[in-house]
This record gives sequence, C-alpha cells and structure tokens, in this order.
Amino acid sequence: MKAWKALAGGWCCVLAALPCGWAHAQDRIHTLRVAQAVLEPEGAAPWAGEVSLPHLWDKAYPGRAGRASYRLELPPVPSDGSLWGLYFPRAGNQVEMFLNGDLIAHQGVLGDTRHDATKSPLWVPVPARLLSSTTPTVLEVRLAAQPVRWGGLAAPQFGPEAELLPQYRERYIWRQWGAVAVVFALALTGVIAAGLWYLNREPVYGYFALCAPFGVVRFGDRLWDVQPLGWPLWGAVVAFSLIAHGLLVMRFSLALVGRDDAVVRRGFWGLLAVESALVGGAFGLGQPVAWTAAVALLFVPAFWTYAVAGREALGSRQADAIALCLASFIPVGAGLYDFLEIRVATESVGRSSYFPVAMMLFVLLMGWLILSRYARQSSAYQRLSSSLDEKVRQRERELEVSYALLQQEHAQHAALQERQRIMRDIHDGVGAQLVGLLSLIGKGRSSHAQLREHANAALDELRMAVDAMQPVDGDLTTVLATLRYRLQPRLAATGIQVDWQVQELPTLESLTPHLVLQIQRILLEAFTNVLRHAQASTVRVSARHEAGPSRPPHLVLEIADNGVGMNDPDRMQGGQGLASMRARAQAIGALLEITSAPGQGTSVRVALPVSRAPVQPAPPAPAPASPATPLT
Amino acid sequence: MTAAAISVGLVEDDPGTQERLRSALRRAAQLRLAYAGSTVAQTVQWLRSNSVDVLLVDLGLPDGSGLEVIRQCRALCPATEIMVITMFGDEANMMRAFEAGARGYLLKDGTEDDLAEHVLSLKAGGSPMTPIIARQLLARLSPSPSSPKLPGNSAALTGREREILATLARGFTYAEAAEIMNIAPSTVQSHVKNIYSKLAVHSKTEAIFEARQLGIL
Repeated sequence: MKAWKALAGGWCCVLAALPCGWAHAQDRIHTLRVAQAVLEPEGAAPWAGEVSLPHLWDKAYPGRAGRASYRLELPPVPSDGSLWGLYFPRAGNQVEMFLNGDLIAHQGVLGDTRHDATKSPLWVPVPARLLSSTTPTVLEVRLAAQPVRWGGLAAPQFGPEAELLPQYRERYIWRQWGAVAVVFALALTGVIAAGLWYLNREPVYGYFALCAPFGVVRFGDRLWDVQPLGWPLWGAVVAFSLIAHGLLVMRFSLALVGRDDAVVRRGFWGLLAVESALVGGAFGLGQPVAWTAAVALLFVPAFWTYAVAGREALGSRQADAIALCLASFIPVGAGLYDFLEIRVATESVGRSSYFPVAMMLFVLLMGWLILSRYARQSSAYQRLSSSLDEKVRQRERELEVSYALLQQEHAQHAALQERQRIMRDIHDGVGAQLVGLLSLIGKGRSSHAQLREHANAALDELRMAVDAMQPVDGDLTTVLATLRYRLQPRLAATGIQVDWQVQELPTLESLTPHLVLQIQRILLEAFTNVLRHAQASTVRVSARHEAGPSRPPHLVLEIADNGVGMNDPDRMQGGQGLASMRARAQAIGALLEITSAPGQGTSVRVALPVSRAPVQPAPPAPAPASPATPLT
Repeated sequence: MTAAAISVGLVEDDPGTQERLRSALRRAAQLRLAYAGSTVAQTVQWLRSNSVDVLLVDLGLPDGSGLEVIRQCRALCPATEIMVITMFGDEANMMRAFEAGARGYLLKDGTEDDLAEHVLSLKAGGSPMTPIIARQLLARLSPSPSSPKLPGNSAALTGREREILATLARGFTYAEAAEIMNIAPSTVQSHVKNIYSKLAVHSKTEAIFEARQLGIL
C-alpha cells in the first residue's frame, strides 16, 4: 500500500508540472477569448449572444448536430509590413474563416461529416491589406459540428507570423508526429509480437499482437483529414479501437506478470461488453456523457492492473513487473491527465493530448520486454535441453550400472541353481549308489562280484554326471553317442552286437544338464536290463524325429533287444528299475513305453516332446540358501 | 620280444594309482617301465636327458599341470607318444591335452588291465576320440568365415576328416565308421591322428594370430 501511495503521489507531481512548460507570455500575440456567437442547433431554437472561448459544442448541445458562427475582433495592427497570421489550436468539425466578409480559409465543407478539422491545428495567414491599423477587423468563423465529435472553437491566437508560427509548428509536430511515431512503434512491435506468437503460441505475445492494430486505428485516425466512413460510424470505430487497445494492453500486462487466469478473462470480456455498449450509446444515440463514462471506466482495470503489477514488482521483485510498473507509469498518468483536462474540465480544448506520445514510449518498452522475455525463454529452453541431456546421460549411466548389477545377480542366481542341481544329482546318483554299496559291505554277505557291480554303478553314475555337464548345445545325438562310447567296452565284452540307428536330430533348446542326466539314467537302466536279463545277441538303438499331423513333434529314442522278453514288464524282476525309469521320464515330460512278450525281446521307447519348457525353470524368486534336501 | 619292448614313462602323483599302473605294466610283456615320477619339475628334468616311447601323464600334479609336462615332452622328444591319465576323459581337459600334444588317454576306471592294450593301440597309430570331442573339433577346425586371415589352412579339416568326425560324433565306432565310409579301420585311425595334429597346429596358429592382434609379436 505504501508503494501505491508513492505512485499516486508521483502522478500528482507530474500532472501538476506538465502545463508549466507551455506557458507563453508574448505581448504582441493576442488570444481571442470572447466571441459574438450565433448557434443553430438542429431541432432546437437558435441562440445568439456572447460566448467565451474555448466554446465546446458538445457541452452546449449534447447529442445534437448544428452550425455556429463566431464573430471575433482582431485588434488593429501597425502597418510596418510584417506578416500576420491566425493560429487555431482547434476548430471544427468543418470550418470556414471570413475576414471582412471574404473567405480566407476553410477546412472541409460545412456539413460533410467525413471531414474533421479538429484533428490538427490550423494556421491561417492574414493578408496585411485586409487589416486595419486603426480599427479592429472582424473575423467570422463558421463551423458545422456533429454530436460527440468534440467540435467547437478553441480560443484562436492572432499575432505576427514570426512569433506565432513556431507555436503552431510546435503543436503540429507534437500532435501529428506524435501520432506518426506511436503508429510506427505499434506497427513494429505488433509485427514482432505476432511473429513471436506465431512461433511460440504464448498468449502474452498474442495479446500484444492483437492490441497493436487497434492502437494503429485509434492513433492513426489523427493523420487522416478525410475518413473512410461517415460520422458517427467512424467515431464508433475509433472509440471501440481505443477501448479494445486499452483492454488488450492491460491483459497483456497482466499476462506478462503471470496473471492470465479466469478472473482476468471474465473481467476482460465483461468490460469489453460494457464498454462496447457505452460506445454504442455515445455514438449511436449521440450521448457524449456515455463516451466520457466509457473512458472513465477504462481507468478501473488500468489501476487494478497497475496494482497487480506493483504488487508483483514489490513482492517478488519480478523483473518484468518492475519494468512494467515503471513503463506504464507514463501512459496511465498521461491518460489520466488527458482525461481530466480535456474530457472533464474541457478548459483546454486547444491542448494536445499526451497519451499518444506516452503510449509510444510504453509500446517501445513493451516491445523490448517481449523480446527480452523471448530471449530469456529460448536461453531457458537451451539450459533445460542441456540439463535434460545431462539427466539422460546420468540416467543411462545409472541404467548401465543397474543392468550390470542385474546381470551379476542373474549370473549368481544361475550359478547357485546349478550348484544346487549338481548337489541334488550327486545326492540322488553317486551318493545313493555309495550308500547302497556301504550297506552291502556292512551286511558282509555280498559276493565280490556284487560289490564290484555296485561300485561300477557308482562310477557310471559319476561319469554320467560329468558327461551331463559337457557342452552339447542341444544336440541329443551327442548325448546318445557319448553314452554309447562309455558303454561300448562293456557291451563288446558281453558279445552283444549294437545296431546303431541314430539319425541327425533337430536341436533341442531345452536340453539342460539335468535333462541330459535323466535321459542318460533312463537309457543306462535300459542297457543294464538288457545286459542282465535279456540274454540278447543284438540290441538296436534308434533315435529319430517324429512329427505327425495330429501330434506335436517328438524325439523318439528306442532300445530294443532280441532277447527272451517277458510277460508283464511291470512285474518282472527289477521292477524297481522300471518304476524309477518311468518316474524319471515323467519328471522330464517324456512318455515311456515298454513293450515285451516272451521270446519277442523287449523294447523301451522314450518319446520326448521337442518344444517344451525347460525341465528346471529358473524361478526369479530368491533361491534357498541351502539344498532343498539334506544329504543323508 | 624284450628287445622290442616299448619303454613307458609314468607321471602320476597318486600312490595307489601309480602302484596299480606299475603292476599292470609289469604284467605286460611288451611294455617296460622306464621312468616313474610324480611332479612336473622332476619329469621335465628327466626328459632333458632321457626319452621314452610312451609317456603316461596325470593332469593334476602337485607342482603344476600335466599339460606342462606334455608340452615339454613334445618339444624335447617329439617322437614320444603321450597319453593322459584321466578320471573322466571330459572334453575341457582332453581338448587342452590334445592341443598340447597328447594323442591318447587312459581312463582311471579300474580297467588298468587294459593298459597294455591301450598303449599298444596308441603305438600302432590309434587315438581315441569321444563323440563330444569329435563334435567340438568339427566346430573348431572348420574353416570359419570370421577369421579368414588365419594362416591355418594347413590346420583346416579336409572333407574326409569332417565326414569321419561327423560319423564319430553320432556315436559310431571306428569300425562302423570305416564300414560306412568304405575305408579300412586303420585309415580311420590315421585320419584321427591327423586331426589331432591339426588341432595342435591350429591352437598354435591361433595363439600366434592372437599375439599379432595384441601386438605382442
């Protein structure tokens, strides 16, 4: 609140100081402050009498058009041959000047509403021969005024050209070039903002780009003496342009300090609707008060915006808000001053408004703010993108590390699983054999041959466990071949011929050491049975790939002898061995078939499905730290 | 016969196994035990001034690997046939032993009585080959497109040799392979020996190639 007071105080000082610069004190220049007027409003009785200047038509006859004639007296001038002239700060809306009944100047044709002479000051040179050196000369100013057009006559000045013309020129430059400058500034920054909006689609740029054309219409209007539309339509267009321009500038300012929420949006559209209605009332119904109210209403959001920006500036020290506060101090102040002086007091009808010039400065500053904001954004994007790159790289490094850890864990898990499998195999295989051997020795009734057989079985078991761990790359043929290589000396010793019918088999992806060991055990059991019981002369070993239309592909291993055969394979001697063969086959998902008949030999057939899940799937769950079954 | 007896060296650190092998050798008339040692250093030292026809080597020795004995023996007495004494005849150990220069192996499976037979068979030109080793050799010694610069064309297998390896890898015996391929069993044996020689050459050229790649040579 302190800041607010300070800002308000600042305004008052500036407003008070402004008029001082234009105080002129020339004794040869005469300001004509009184006129004999004949006023002819439309739809009302004419009036004649003395009026003091400036005389504002809209104040005298609000909402009415009409004509007026002012008779003024020019003082006698010395006939020293110097040039004299009249300077009209404001006269209109269309105006004709007569000196001693002769037309010496005009702006527009009386009643032609497309022309507005009030937009620029007038300089009328007065021929010296028409002036008297002894008596006053009569100047008649006739004008036509349209409602709500701020027509009328400001107090003209009469004096030597050498002294008065510079005043006119100064005013002309202020008024006209000020307009040119603000139009140029608006067009330039508007195009820049539109370009940024096109590239970035940020509302803050869009508001500024949108406010620029309205401002161009409003301020550019001064530069055209002849307007594209008649009165009051054009008046409404220009008035609406000012409203839209003002509201959009405020919305832009709010967006710049980070306020572009629903409240602002609703306020914007609400105010635009109210203001539009007031403009319609002012120009459609010819009520100047409505236009004054519309302009006054515009100050409400302006001050609110200023307050928001001020709070941001003081509260969060936001750079944009500080710049905005400083920059908008001038146009808000100038607008307020213009409004109070020209529209409310109407004393200085002839004075130029400061608002356009202030607006030009504001617009240029805003253009700079927009550009710096864009530059900030793009550098922020750059930083963001480089920090994103860094983050991505860091993430990649982390991923690599965690991937390596995961790999390591997998390897450890696999190793643990493999160790447990080996332990189980030793336990079930060679362990069991050795325990059996020990118990045989303990009983002490076994023959040397029995013990030897048992020890050999233990050794076989150990060999198979080692063989099962050798690399075979899913090649079952190699497994069979290795088994034969191990057994061949024993088979040869017993004189049994081997009919080896092993074909090339397709690769079996699921051929794990465990599976290999189980197959070896089944086949060894089959061979052992042949050696022990079959009394065969030939054993045929065949392996082939079988696939039918109705059944999935299988690898079929068959061991068939031409021995004595048996009645019921399940009840034959050594049924224990057959049961364990079946159990092993079942454990690896294979189908075991034993066919036999007395005198017909025996055939053991193992059908192993080709596509199947590994027998020992490695569960990702934590593995038990110790073997599942303790060694006995 | 004693004049033509085959001299045998034995390197084995396990006293029980050594004793069994010693007695088996004593029983074999054609074989004569010329040396028995139990360490690498001792054996290499002995080989510097002596030689045998056949050297039996255990791979796990107290002061080093039996592979070192095989390499040294290969360098010192190229004519000596080397056999590895092994429990399992597993692929990893055998492959390295054959690379080093061994040409046969003896399984510690209680069939030491067959020792003489094995030694004689080796001396007569026969080397054993398990299906797994056959399979591995087939993969290793086949000309590989990935290393065409290997100057080991002399180490690449011939078509016949590959045929033999493929047959053995499927589980057929030497005799069956000879029948299938319509060649004499002794031809199969000499092929197998050639293949082992190629493995030694191959591993050497591989080592040289790798050394060149690494810039050592």
